[in-house]
Amino acid sequence: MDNENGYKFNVGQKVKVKEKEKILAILDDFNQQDGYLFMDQMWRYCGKSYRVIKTVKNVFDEKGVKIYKVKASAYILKNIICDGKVDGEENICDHSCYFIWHQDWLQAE
Amino acid sequence: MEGLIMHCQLTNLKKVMKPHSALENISQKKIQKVWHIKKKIKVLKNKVITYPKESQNAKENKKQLPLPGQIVRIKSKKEIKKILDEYDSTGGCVFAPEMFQYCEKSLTVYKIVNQFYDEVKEKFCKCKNIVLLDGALCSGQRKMLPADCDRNCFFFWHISWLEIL
Repeated sequence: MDNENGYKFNVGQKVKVKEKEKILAILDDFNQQDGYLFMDQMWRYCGKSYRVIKTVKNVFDEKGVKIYKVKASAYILKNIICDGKVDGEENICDHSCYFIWHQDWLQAE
Repeated sequence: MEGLIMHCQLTNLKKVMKPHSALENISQKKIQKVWHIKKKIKVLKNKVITYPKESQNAKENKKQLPLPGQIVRIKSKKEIKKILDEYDSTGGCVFAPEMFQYCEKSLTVYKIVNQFYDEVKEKFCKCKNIVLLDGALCSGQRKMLPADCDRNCFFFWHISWLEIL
């Protein structure tokens, strides 16, 4: 049952990342769902449980200096951060962004 | 690195954004204008009212780079203001108002930043003397915006704002 504004999970709640096959079935040909990209390094978290530390409702566009609502419910999970190895080992980005997880990639524990 | 095409959640972020309604567009444009004006006023104010500078070349001074896992102390607000330029930055690294809450606290270095995707310039950029600190995350709160940003980004810290313990 969804909370207000369609968010199933609450901050502090433990959730499980769905199995790879289930997530693959709902991604498009570009490994995206509602614009959320499922990066290669995110597969290692499938089947494991993590705590929700934030519900993602709005994101700030630094270049345009504008705030936008997101298209679909999403979350940030504790300690799951991009390692920056987007282009192999040669050019590693140190931005260390927290991954944003689409609600449909997660299930209640 | 020139011409490197990054494909990650950050470069893809625009796709998760819901397009603005006409009313939201008008409101956001007003916010943009106010933001730019406030920024210009702040820069002018900083040029006129300045703290006595310790060293104009603070950013050039050779400083030891703290390593991941090391504990650092964030300098006091007064000490940091002495080394910020009129754009509230050191070596191009901006000190956001929210970062002052960490002054005089001790935090652990999470990572050294050598290069990162700059979403304003929309390209991969190299940098030096910048670190990320464990737990020092942007809350996304900005007074002038109608909502908080939920991206939960790490703040970038210039090493001249820190002391290794």
